[in-house]
Amino acid sequence: MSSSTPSRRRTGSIVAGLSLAVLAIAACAPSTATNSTGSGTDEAAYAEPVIDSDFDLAALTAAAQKEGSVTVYDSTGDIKKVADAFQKKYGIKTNGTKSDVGDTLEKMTREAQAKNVTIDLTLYEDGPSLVGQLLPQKTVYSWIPADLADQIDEAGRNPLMVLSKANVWIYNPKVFPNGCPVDNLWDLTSPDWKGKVTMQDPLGKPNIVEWFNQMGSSYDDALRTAYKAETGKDLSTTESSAAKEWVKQLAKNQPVLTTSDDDVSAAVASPNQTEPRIGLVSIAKFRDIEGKKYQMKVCDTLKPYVGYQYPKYGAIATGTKHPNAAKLFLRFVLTEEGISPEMGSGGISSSKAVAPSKNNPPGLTDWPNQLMTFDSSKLLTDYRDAQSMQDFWRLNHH
Amino acid sequence: MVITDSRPAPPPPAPAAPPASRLRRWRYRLSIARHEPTLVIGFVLTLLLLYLVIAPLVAVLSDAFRVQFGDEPKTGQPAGGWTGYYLWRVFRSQISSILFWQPLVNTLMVAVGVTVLALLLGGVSAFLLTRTDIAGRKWLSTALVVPYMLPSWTFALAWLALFKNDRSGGQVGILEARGINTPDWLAYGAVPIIICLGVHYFPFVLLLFGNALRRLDSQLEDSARVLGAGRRTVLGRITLPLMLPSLSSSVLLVFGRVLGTFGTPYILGLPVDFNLLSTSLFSSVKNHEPGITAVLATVIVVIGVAVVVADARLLREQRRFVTVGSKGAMSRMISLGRWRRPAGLVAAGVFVVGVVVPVLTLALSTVTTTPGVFRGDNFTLKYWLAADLPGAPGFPHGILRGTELFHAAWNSLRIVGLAAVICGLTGLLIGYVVVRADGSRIAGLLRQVSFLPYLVPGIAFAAAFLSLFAVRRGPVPALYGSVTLLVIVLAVTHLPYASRSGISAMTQLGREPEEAAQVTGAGWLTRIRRVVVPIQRGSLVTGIVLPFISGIKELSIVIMLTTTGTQLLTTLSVNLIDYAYDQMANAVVLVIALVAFLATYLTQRLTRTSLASGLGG
Repeated sequence: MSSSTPSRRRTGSIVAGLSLAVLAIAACAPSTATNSTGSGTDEAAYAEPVIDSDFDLAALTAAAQKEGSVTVYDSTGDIKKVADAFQKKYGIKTNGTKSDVGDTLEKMTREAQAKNVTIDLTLYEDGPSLVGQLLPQKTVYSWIPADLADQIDEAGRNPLMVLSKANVWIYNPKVFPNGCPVDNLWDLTSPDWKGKVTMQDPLGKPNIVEWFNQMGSSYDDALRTAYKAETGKDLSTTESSAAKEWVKQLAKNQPVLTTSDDDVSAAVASPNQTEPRIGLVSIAKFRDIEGKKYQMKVCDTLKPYVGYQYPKYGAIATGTKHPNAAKLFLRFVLTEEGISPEMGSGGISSSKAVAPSKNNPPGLTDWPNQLMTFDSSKLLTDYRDAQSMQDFWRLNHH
Repeated sequence: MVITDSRPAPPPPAPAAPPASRLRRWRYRLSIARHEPTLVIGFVLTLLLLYLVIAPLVAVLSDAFRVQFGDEPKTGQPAGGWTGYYLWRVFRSQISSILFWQPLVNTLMVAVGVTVLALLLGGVSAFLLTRTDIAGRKWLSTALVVPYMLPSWTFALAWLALFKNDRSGGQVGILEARGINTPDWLAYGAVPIIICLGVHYFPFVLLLFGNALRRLDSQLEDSARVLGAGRRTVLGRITLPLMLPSLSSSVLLVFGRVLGTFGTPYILGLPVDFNLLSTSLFSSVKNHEPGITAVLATVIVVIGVAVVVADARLLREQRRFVTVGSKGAMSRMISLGRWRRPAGLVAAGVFVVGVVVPVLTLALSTVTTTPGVFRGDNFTLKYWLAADLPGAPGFPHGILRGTELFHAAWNSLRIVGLAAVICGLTGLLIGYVVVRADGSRIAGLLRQVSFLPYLVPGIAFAAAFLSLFAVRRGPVPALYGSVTLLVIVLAVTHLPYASRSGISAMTQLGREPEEAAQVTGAGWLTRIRRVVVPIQRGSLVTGIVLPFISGIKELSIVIMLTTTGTQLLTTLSVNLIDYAYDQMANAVVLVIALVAFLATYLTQRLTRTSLASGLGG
């Protein structure tokens, strides 16, 4: 510690005074909040997707090649392979980065505010925050390549959907040679499975929260029927939906939560694993059967559904410095060649021209009947309800 | 007797001002300022620091009271309007106990635990190293500082690699894999966090406390003994009071650091839902809740400020006395006799636990496919060297292949190096101004402002900088995503180390050499370049190396600010954890530790300075 000066006390008060003055000056500086205001208070409206009327693929390719590079963020590591394929085909330097949707949202928003955009486009899994934040704030826009527009169903157009993937419940066939040990979603909330259900932390994975909400809005009857099948009684609950009751019971059943579903698949299916467990993972994890000798199978007997489909959207940063390369990339992932690296373990492209993947994991054969589907028209409601559902989970899990 | 009043001699009387008009007086001052620009520099530095430190905090504070985009329905107000919603949500709502109160209790508990552990380890080892003839003393005094050079979450990763049980998913740790069950309380939560952070921060105490002990003249204790005081009285009335400043300093420095630490609690807390304020803050950033982030950041800053104010109060009385240990000082060694070796072994044991075990555990994990299985076919070098790693699309080759690691290392060296150099030079300049203009208001203000960043935990600082520099503010362009922002943030947050070292070094340099140069006609710049900097080379190096070590393993601050193209070693390692490529993440951590260690070792060798001289004071 240094020695004191005769005017210590005086300096102290000066510091206080000056700091106050600075505080006062800086307080006049606008907060980030005001700068980011897009629309008003009512409905967070978002623009229709853009379809260029004078679309010309050759011109777009040339312009894209002139721009020289493109950066895309996605929540799966497979994006690297897509990026490599794109780079090989067009000679445009392509950077594909795996990033959680939360990080992508934060970074794209900040970059747009700073007008220093490095992420040119994103393949984005979180519909609610896409229509609730990124689109209305004009951080990104939705664009559909005119030559492929006919191939895309109305339901997948606003915002533009690129691909449907699935999260499914899995088990370890070495531990359970006679098939999946549970046949009803309500089993997972029973004492038998206390502490044995493994999934990603819903607080860090928006699509799980969205799934809870969509279950509440679209699958109430299915859950009640399943409950009756399981217990022989009608479900009586004080919660507003059967889904909420199920979520509450699951949260209280001490599920093992992880930061990534790699940890879920490792906990269920890694080679030296002998514990009885059930886990919720993305079907992308089935590549580990070959890569890491994992033992895993879709829990195909589970009622009412073995998992859920979640859409992945494509959106281009409004302030991108490589607008044409971004468009070309987005068009690329709507073709078979572009999207197949992400369909290595299943998936359905939004384009009817691309055949559904033949690499579905063992046990997952019939997507429409085995999986719940998200309703795109409820995205805004999901956005509004996301926080209360998170809170609901937190309160019950604690 | 050597207790003296250390207040500096009053500054030489200013030349009597001519009894003339104000105008002439100002002209006179102006001409002085040209030759002696200390005050001007001080003024500029102070303004700059106030802007860089206070403005971000104000920006974050205002976010706490304004409706953020997307929250309109919840608050019933348009975006940008004033609201108390975030305060309500953090402090009073149904989930406030999860968001805030429980993390607050946990934070205090962990901070106290870590401080006690660090004091215990650091205090004992400082005593052994400075006052006894413990075996291997010289070697130990270097070795025991090494834990501080490892990134703090190294210990957390190593802990998991050893103790992880099936509570958290993923692969289990080595013990569990060998059939030894590790209970939850031992594998996750408060206990491991306290141990890991305690082991990381004890060198802090060792350095501060050791320095003070070394300077303490044992004649003081002898005099007391001669006058008839018993051992206990000597300890209670002489030794402890004299050690109090360094004791409270180290307590509060450690306490303050723990507040803002994010990596370790994040890794060890999640499986059992054990949140600290810093992890709660981080998850609100991840959930894109700027309002909540702002409130939590503010709370952390307030606690940090309270801690330092408490420190200043406690020291106010103590500061008037320093022990002058130059001529008559005598340090009496306690001979340990036959306990020399055992004591050395115990201290070496601390080194083993704090450095060897974590580093070896991590190193071992990088060469095994399935953790904890030690069979021939399970050992592999593929995570380091393989040209192609199937099943790892995010990083499809060993970390020594491809450009990613080298790119990140180069970024780290470049960005942190630049920030450290800026830090060192600014620190010296601050020292110059504070000492030369001693007694002036600017000097006092600058001294305090340059220490301000220490009050703000790293993660709160990052949130604040994000708020402020994400958009253009007047003449300051939007800096988000630029290397400049990273350099500025790192320089500002590590300035306290450098300015401390600068001030204490300048105090020891009289005016005479400079005056001699002035007489021969040297201008101010020449004096600085040819006289001050060469003399202060040692402290300048410390002022650069300390921020460098601390910056190269910095995670809390940079994790929110890096974008594509500015990947650093630390963020690369965390990304690899996100991909669940544990082996490769651990390998990167080892590389970081190696870089930090080499940097320190080389500078100590080349300049014959030591870390200790920089941290003390």
